[in-house]
Amino acid sequence: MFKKSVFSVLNALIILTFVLSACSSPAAPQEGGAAPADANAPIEVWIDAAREESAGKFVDAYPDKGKLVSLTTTDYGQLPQKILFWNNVGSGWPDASFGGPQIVPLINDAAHDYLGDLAPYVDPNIVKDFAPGSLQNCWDGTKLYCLRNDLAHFVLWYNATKANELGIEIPETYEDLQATCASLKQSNPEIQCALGQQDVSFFNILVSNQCPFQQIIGAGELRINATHENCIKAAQWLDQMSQDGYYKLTDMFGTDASDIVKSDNWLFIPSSSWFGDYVIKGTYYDAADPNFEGKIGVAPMPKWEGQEHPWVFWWGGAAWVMSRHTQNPQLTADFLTYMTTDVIKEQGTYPAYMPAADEWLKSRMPTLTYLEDTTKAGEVLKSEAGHMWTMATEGPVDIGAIFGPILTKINAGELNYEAALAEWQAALVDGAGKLGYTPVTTGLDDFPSQ
Amino acid sequence: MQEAVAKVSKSAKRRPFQFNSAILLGIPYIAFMVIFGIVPMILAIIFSFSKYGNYQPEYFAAGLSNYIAILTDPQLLISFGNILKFGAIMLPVSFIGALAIALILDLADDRFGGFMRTVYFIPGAITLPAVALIAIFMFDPGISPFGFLLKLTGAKIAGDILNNKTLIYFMVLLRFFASSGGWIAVFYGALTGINREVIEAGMIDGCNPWQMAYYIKRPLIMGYALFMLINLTIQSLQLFAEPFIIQTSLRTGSPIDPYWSPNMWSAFLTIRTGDFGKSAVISLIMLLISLVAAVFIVTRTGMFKTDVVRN
Repeated sequence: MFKKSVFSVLNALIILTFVLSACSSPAAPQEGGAAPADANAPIEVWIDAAREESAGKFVDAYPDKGKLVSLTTTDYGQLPQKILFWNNVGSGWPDASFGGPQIVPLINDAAHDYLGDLAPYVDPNIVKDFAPGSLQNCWDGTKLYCLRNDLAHFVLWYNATKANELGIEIPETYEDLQATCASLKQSNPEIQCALGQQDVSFFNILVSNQCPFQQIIGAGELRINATHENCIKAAQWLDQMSQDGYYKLTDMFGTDASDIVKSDNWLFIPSSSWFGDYVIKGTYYDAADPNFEGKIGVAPMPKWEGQEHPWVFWWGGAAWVMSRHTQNPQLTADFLTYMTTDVIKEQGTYPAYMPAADEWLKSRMPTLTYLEDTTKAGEVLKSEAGHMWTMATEGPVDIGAIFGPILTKINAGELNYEAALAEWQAALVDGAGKLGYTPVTTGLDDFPSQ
Repeated sequence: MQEAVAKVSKSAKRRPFQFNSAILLGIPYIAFMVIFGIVPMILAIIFSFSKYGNYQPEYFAAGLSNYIAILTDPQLLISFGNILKFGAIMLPVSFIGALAIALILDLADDRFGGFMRTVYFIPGAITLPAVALIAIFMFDPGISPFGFLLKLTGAKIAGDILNNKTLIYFMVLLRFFASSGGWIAVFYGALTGINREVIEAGMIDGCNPWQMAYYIKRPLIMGYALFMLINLTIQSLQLFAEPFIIQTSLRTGSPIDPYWSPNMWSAFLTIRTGDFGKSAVISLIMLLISLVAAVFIVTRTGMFKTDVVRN
């Protein structure tokens, strides 16, 4: 009797589940375009805690429009998976969101189907004034899927007082850098010539020589070619520098690096544009220390012999995206434009919008007294912002997570950087396959003619 | 005598269903088991036959394509191979370790024993992801309070301690200290339930404490120990918290990729591609293996054998 009742309960449940699933039939998928526009519809924007104050300024600047904007402070990293869940229920998407640098490639597919085209709603004159290459991965054909918030391009931070003391000229090519480090090792072996964050320094050296380890080459199409000759040449250089002890690749946020820097026995730190303000000052050096004044110099990253100018990687650089489900795309676009062109001037990192960047440099650089030459530093940051080789890395495949096990093997001495390329290539292709891509594994694409 | 037994068995069969307090206490558990156990299982079966990837799911539209895709994917053998390696070390270590500690603590039937039992139990009261995060912090030579000890081994960054070679042992260590405390407490309950007469008979026969523990106490609590074995097997199959925390917090310094264990692979498919169909297939494979393991252990080891035989 008891057995019977248990089974009948289970049977009822099974039938109930089938009935419920039949009831929740898929809503008619909306064809490409946005929802009907309503200039008075409220919008919801996802931001992080650091953007709260600046986003609030939109409300102050435009009280009429501002009252339609509601801000949700949350972990914007959850956006891609949350979109998938909202798609299942047919509602819940924010009208816009702050996102990491790869946000567009991460969600620009049929499963997410979230991105809204900003091009009709943003003044083309504003769009063309973003730093060259910074919107490369926002464009999908003629559709503009994001606005870049800030840049984190690589520059060469150096110990200016030490360089002056030793009479060292700042190298302009990677070959020169190698020679400089070699002679420094002879004369002053206690000084670490160059040090950098292990993973991003590897990516930077590959990007500097235009290594196509992940390129978006069309709608739903990827190239993964980490064993291209450009990559191999760069990796060989890195192996040599690392082997000889000239370039120490480690965790820059740990004691291993900070001990070296604090002992003043260092010369070059190739790193992102924010590294000086947020790590060199603060973590390594005490901002109030009088010895820290005028200590740090900034130079462009080296280039390879034969290159016109350096190409650099970027360690960060957020973006804003708009939803295609929004009922007020103009207001959403206006808000995003405001965040990336106006209030960005007062933020802590280098703006992607060039006119805002000029003002940012003008107001901010003189306050950075730890720099040896604030004018020169400003010029370097500005010129290098246009040298990001954005034809690689911002794609759907998580290159960092996939590089993790390989980096562990490099540190254990099982692989060097050159040998790691082949293994990384295989893992990247496998990672792309898991996301449903069949990547092209040969060739290279440079910037399309603009 | 035969007649009495026959009478008892007949009345047992004809005994009407009585709603009593036992059923009442069981209702909340059954309700939760149905809502959070049985219904998701049924939904997983439905999802495994559904097609995902286009904005909205199409139920029952995939046929066997999800099953074929997962069963022919090389990642299946890789992920299950990883947890097999983990289970091969974790099961004996936890099984023997927890049992041995419980038996030894039982010898110290005083405040010290009680205190140590609490000490072992405490990590189990903290949620596993938190334990994993603390462990990563503890093993990073740069930030650990025991960094000076770690640096003596020549390690400078977290990756020197936590790498491909040490990964499994690190996770076994984590799992052992996080979960064995609970089992030690369960065994304590089982050991106190042992009939005093049996213990005294053993002492009269001249057993020393070690013989008492191994020959007398151990067999009497073996039912609980085998229950622990089922749990450990299922836990090692479903391994997720530790490798996920290691992978997401160390990222470019992680010795493992985002699909190291089957549960991580299933989560990866869900979170990155929204393909509930394929991740449901992986979950059902794990469920099947867990069921087979549980049935095997229950039927082959006689863990539910009791002294009283009921008809």
